[in-house]
Amino acid sequence: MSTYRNYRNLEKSLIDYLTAELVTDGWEVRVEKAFSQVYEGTLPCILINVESSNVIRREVGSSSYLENILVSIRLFCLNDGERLDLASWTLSKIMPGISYYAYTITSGVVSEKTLAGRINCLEITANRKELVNLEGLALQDKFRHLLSLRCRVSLS
Amino acid sequence: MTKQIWTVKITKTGRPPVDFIRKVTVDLQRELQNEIFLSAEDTAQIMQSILMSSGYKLDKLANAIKAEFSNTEHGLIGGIGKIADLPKSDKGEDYWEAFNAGFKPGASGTYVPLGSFGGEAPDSNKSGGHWDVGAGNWTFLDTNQTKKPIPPLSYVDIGYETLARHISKAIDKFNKELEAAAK
Repeated sequence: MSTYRNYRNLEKSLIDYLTAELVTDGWEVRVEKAFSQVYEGTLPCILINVESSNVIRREVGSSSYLENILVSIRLFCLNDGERLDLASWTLSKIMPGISYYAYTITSGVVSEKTLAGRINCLEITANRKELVNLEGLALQDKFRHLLSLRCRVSLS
Repeated sequence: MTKQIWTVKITKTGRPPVDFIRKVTVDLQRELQNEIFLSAEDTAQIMQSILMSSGYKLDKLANAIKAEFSNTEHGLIGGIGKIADLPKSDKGEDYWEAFNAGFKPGASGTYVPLGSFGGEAPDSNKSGGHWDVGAGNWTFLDTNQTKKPIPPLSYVDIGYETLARHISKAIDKFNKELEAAAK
């Protein structure tokens, strides 16, 4: 039995949340964590990755820290209209903040998840079409959108 | 009892107030510009190191990513990695964007980026066999190789995040110094 650390907890919390919300809102969209998996199934698809983080002291002399985490959400769509709709939908779901879970893994499978805090989006640093030069691209790369979010996890 | 007219009294002794404010503003503005320049240099280095350590033989692209500034009539204008100056493959294709975003080589025999990039041999342990060794050139993507997706390097987004963090710190410092000078 093992547990995910905070970056993987963040990724998995986002994946679980978006997967459930997509079903509720009637979208047929896959949500993946690994880049190669995007190309192994149908479109549209959402890819979620923690890219980097910035750790700063809470205040001068303090031993507690604040961590801003850069999260990339890549949307792989079938056309430009779907790309814009899915980008708008995704932002509307994430901006109010989502629940953060701590995951326990047994034999490589999630065996338990416990509510452990909240993920707050501090800033959207990118919201744009990701690849503009389309010549020679595979179908999956033709209508891609990038959302880069600066997030912070508040533990409860 | 003397009636107090001013909450802040300005006298004519020492440096005239307008000159003082002008001097402080100019000094701090210079300092802020210097901080921004150093931040941009640091950001460019981080972007270069991501490209250099990727294993995709992107040295030429990494070396072209530079912080540049110029003083214009609209103030200081600058940027990192001027797109027009970034290298293209020998087929004339841009490849900075594709490696930032990650991509899958096309199935129809066309690839992004297409062509050779020259220079030293790539690290065969790192880039998963995405190249072909030609005479005097190292071609990125070989038609005979498995067309595995190349994951995103996200060096532009990580660079942006780094620069935003540095500038925010510099502005905080600037504001504190401005407040201290005003006291």
